[in-house]
Amino acid sequence: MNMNGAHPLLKVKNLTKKFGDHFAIKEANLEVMRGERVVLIGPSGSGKSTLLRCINYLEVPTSGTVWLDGEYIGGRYNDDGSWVKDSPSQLTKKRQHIGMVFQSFNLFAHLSALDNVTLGPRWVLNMPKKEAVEIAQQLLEKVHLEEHSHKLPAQLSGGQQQRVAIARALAMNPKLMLFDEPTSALDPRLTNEVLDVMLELAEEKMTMIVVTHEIGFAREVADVVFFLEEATIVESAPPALLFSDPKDERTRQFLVDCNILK
Amino acid sequence: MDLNFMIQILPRLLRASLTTIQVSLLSLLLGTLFGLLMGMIRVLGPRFLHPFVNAYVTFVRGTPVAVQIYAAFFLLPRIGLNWSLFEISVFALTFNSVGYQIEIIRAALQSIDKGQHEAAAAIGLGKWKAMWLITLPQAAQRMIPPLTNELANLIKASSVLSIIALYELTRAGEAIIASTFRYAEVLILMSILYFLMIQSLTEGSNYLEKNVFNFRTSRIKTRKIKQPAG
Ligand SMILES: Nc1ncnc2c1ncn2[C@@H]1O[C@H](COP(=O)(O)OP(=O)(O)OP(=O)(O)O)[C@@H](O)[C@H]1O
Ligand SMILES: [Mg+2]
Repeated sequence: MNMNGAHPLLKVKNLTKKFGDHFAIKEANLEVMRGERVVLIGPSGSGKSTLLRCINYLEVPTSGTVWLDGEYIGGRYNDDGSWVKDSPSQLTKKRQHIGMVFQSFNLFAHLSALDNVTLGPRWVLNMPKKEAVEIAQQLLEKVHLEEHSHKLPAQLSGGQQQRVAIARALAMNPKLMLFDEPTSALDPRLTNEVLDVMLELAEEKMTMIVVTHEIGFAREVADVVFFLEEATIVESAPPALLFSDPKDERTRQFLVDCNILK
Repeated sequence: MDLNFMIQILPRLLRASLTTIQVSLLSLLLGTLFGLLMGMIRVLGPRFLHPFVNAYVTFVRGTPVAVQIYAAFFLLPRIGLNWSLFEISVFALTFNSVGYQIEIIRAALQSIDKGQHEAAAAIGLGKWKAMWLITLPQAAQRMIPPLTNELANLIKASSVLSIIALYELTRAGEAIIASTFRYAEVLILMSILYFLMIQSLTEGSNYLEKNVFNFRTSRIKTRKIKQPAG
């Protein structure tokens, strides 16, 4: 519990993911409050994506737990303290509370922007079509794409595709949004239209964890920034502090390499 | 060469061609039905079923279609099925085609980008729903060219049905040759008819691929992307 008495929405405990003998993320601990905006930074291969993907179990952790709003993702503890793994359908059900936005957009290629957004509400939440379409249209408006709702992904620019992807994730009314380098595949102008949408979300106090190289975004939006290196969370601090006066030498070096610190 | 003779036998050959098309198309469609079922099992189904599917594929591919046709002809009545020649023929070719279609369908299903599955999982779709709503519609387009090829193979394989005396194009041609000994005219007509059947069905499926299933370009004519101002 923190000072204002808020409970964490997400608790990641001792999370480790190994590929073979190789640690992709090691003993990561992370707590995110409701409405908190977290940014993960770190060099390539430091385990940012792995940490994010373990949170919604797209990657099954080797050990450690992920707890979201009252339940563990991927399993639960029995009364006698033993761990029971989730069945695929239980896991599927829990995943719907976590929205995810990918670097490569991953829009459903055969469906229009509108159908991409309605698919989750209709087939996961079993919402009537009319209601799902209404919600989808509102969300497409929110990401400034109401005029493109009938278009297929191949007919949209990268920035537009990514905004549809954000709308698709929001349509499930998630408790938590994960963004894995959402603008890395975009040129600067398209990057800004996506960041603008994310900024609006942040202002609405959407709980989010964002992996990004956009330091400007981190400065403006993040409540706390985590720095990862070599599969470990090295340190975390509010951006004003972390970007000006990091405690750890490795963080300092990274920020110098990125021309953020002198 | 005797044009009058050719014109005279053409109706008989055309009627037999109709049987060829019926057997081949029916076997293709039934084959796709079972091929989809077994292909999906092979991709998503429980692991203990995979060896059965694999054994089936290996068996079909490892034995000549003539043997499969004879087997159907002699064995189906033995297990009490009093089927017509046409039904036995469709059964035999379907049995054969499923073996090839499983591999076509499996390859197409597995060729869909991993990102599509991850996006489906991330919004909370189960794997069978994702298969039905995401993977299958996208894979359908990629299946059309190899399935067209399979249809051409079936049309050619259907000529082997003449060994159990199904009156399809080859059987009809053989019968005319046996009674008239004018093989040149008959063979030329048979070749042209087989060629036309295969060619027109291929064109038809090209049309399907381009205009019905092509979600990259179809449906909306204007490909111009309107960029937001600024
Ligand atoms: N599926 C996988 N199989 C094997 N190794 C993997 C796999 N995914 C990630 N890794 C390894 O795990 C480590 C962490 O990868 P991860 O993708 O999490 O890094 P990252 O911080 O997201 O890097 P980037 O900034 O390049 O996206 C890397 O060494 C990577 O090679
Ligand atoms: Mg990454």
